[in-house]
Amino acid sequence: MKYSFLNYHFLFLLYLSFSVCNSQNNSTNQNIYRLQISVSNSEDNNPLRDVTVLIDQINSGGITDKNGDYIIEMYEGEYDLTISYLGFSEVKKSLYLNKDLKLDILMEESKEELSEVIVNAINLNDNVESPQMGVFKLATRDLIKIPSGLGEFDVLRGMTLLAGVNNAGDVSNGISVRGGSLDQNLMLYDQAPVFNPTHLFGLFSVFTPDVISGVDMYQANIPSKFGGRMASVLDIKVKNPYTDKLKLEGGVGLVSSRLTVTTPIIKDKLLMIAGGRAGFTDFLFPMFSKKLENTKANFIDNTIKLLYLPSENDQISFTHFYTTDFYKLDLITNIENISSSDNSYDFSTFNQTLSWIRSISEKAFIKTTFVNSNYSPKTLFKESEANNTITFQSQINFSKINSEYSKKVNEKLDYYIGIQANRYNINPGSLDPGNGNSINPVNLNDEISYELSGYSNVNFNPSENISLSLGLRYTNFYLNGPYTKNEYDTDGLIIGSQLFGEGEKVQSYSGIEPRFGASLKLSDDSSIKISYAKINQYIQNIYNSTTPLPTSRWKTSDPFILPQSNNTYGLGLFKNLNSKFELSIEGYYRSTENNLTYKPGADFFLEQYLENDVIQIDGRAYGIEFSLKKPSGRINGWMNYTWAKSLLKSNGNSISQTINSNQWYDSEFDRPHTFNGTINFETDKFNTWSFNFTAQSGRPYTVANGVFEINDKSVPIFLERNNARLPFYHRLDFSWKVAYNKDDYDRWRGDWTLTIYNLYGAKNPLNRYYTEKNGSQFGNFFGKSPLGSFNLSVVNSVFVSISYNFKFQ
Amino acid sequence: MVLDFPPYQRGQSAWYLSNRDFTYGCDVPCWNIDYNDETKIFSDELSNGLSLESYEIGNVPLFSVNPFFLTVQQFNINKSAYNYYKTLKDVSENSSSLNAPLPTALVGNLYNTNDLQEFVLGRFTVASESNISIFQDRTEFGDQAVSNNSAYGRQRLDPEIYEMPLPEPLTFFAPCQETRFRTSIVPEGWYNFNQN
Repeated sequence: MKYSFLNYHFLFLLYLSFSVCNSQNNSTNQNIYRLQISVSNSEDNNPLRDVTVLIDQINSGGITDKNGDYIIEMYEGEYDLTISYLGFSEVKKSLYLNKDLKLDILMEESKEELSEVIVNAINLNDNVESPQMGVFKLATRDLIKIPSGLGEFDVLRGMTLLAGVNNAGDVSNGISVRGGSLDQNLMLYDQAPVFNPTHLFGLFSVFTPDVISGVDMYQANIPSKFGGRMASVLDIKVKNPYTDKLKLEGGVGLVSSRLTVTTPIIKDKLLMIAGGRAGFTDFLFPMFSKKLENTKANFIDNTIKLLYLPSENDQISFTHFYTTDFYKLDLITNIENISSSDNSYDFSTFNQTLSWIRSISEKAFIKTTFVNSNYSPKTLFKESEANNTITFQSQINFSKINSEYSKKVNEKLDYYIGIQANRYNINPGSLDPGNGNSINPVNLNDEISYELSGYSNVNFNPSENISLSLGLRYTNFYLNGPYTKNEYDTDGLIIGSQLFGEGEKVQSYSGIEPRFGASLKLSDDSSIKISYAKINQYIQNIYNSTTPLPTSRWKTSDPFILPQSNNTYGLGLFKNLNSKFELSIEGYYRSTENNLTYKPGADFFLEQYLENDVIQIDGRAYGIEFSLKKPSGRINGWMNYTWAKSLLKSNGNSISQTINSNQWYDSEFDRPHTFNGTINFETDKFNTWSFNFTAQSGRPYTVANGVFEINDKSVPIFLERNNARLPFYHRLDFSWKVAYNKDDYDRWRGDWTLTIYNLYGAKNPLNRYYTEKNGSQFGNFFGKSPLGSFNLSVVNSVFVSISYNFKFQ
Repeated sequence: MVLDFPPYQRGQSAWYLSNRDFTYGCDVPCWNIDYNDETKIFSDELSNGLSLESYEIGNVPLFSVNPFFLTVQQFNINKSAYNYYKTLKDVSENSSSLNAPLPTALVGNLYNTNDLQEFVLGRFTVASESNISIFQDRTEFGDQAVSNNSAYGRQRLDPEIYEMPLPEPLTFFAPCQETRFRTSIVPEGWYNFNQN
């Protein structure tokens, strides 16, 4: 049964009237008529946005708006239209335009002929025309086909195949964008920030796969509605459950199993999507690597989204997201000073988003969002003899209110304006001794801060060839008490302190953040773009280990730790070749201030005051990204090559505040050369083969400048940081998807996916370290055991996984 | 506090000859001294005032069933000395994990008064020491030692048949050299020394 949503219908009618008002007379002899094309999904009648409409005779076209409409005015005549959208069967129409015409197009989802491309510009020409730079928009149907880690569809792993995006190794607690650190990316899942985006110590990401509708990633002129993190915004959207019947979707795999239900609760009023995934994979890890023998690793994530349509003008949605991990891993250094037999780790994120969109006039909307995010990592120390567990826990409670008014004034001008208030309540740590008596309870003071912002953005096309995007964001940050502000002498000893009571203002910072993008069209299929953005960052993740987990410390700015800030400049050339290839060259330069790094020997664990453990240093990153995509066809794919640098420089005047003699040095996210290539062969209806190849410069690491001996112990001496580089990283992955349904309209559809990760078994080191070659048991006898350099690699063998995925509707 | 952990064991002396290793009996009663492989360092910031149980301070593998004598030395140090030794432990022992502390400079308390930027290795530390000792007879353990040869698993070689021509004069004993790892001074508290 087909139906359409009333609110969409309503908007559509208004749009029509608006368009008529704006039609202009042309002083030629031929008559001009308006052609309106309304595209909707044949399955549920919902309008399809971003559908490409090409008109052969004028060699031009455009994309449908969010109501599924594309409107063009043309001279009287015969026209051939090609209407295409990734994942849907192409529609071709011919017509004779001799009056204003409205054409309703129903597009059918192409069940077997999905284009296996990850990155696909929404409009064949959008990549050329939009003033937005450094942006990737990925739909789920594209993401789902990346041959990824453990046969799991994975947002973050998919992202690392894009130009400018890197992970920090095979296990990484996030991504590095254009040389930035992991915490410089704002990861939003239906607008709620996610502080720990990975399961299992970084093997894959936490986002429930089947409920994601798409991912937008911004890394250049980040729109002014986003702020707070310097390097990028990853905006992950959960599907709106528009449906009139029950749908089931899921999969059974080696690592995890998934199930998603989409169903109406009250027809046309209240709809729901609920998806979950669980992995109980203890058995798997010894196969993956011998080092993971004693690993326990279990996780769950689930997402529930309710959509309520109370009236024609209102749409209210509520998203719940929960993820939890429990694991035990030999390869994690235990925390000092707590005597325990084994340590295990428990992480959970609990997010809610309530969003209300109201259309107040034909082209104007108000969107209001309430967000609550809770992240609480725990370390559990099992005491050796006593039957007791000591618990270390820290917590972030984040809340946000955001209200935004947007209006499309006319075809050439649209804008939005909004306000946003964030509250951070960070508990840096508490230690619960349980019923044991070897540890004192500790509870560090909560750190409460507010970030108030106002923002606005105008998109304006002053002429046919120029598009501008002008944005401005103003942020105000307050740290409130309770807080103790210490005074230190030159040796770092406390000589006095000032106490602030609850709610008392301790420190504030503010900043104006302009965002600018411009596109100049050089021809129909090529353009040049420039961009600029300034962003301040008031919250950071501090750690002094190779990865933030499990004990990193989230910290907002305070009187000692200044906000980080960033200026990004970009210049790019975009060209489409024969509507088949998309070619782009983007260059960027980022200069950053107040990047945080640790001091020698810093220990953040249960430390109330961090100011003596960190220093703030300057950074700069620059690079050129070359990208070539072939979005469609039986053989499709893309490749990109990036040349980039990411550098840091300290300005200290004592040894403990100086890194590499205050000279510029490579940051740990410096990757001078990166190549990614993906190719998909869609040979027939049933088989799809994909290959993905990645090669990049190794991570900088630190080589000892010398070794000295204390008694019988060799101790490496490190005077510099990041003075060497791990070997080149390279990996080939393969996936083969077999869909076996012969009938395109089977209600139950299934496919088998075989994934081979690291096809030729490259042993890429994650880290290289020094330690004594063996214990001194034998070494003492004829001299001391020498210091050896070792590679730590986690994924060092071929990993094969298979999963069965199904869809029932 | 830093724990040093020397289990004294009756052992044999080594002699180094023409690029080969030989073991001989000692010319006088002689003890091997072994130390903990691991730097044991502990701060009581989380357990101040409480007693700590089951804290592992080291292990003595059953390399031989000879009796051994264990001394636990505890040094009380201040916070900056703790940070120094903690860093030392991080760079030399904690470096192999997924979340390894990043390599960092070992900054002590010595500096060049003419050039404060110069990096000076080492640290001058004053600590108070306390000791406890335990004598352990392992003959009744029942378990098989890793090697019955008490020279830590190294096969005792008979020089007469091992290499020709033999250096003169023939050697049957080697001197027990006083080093950090060997002593002929009877450890105070060694039980029933003459029996063995």
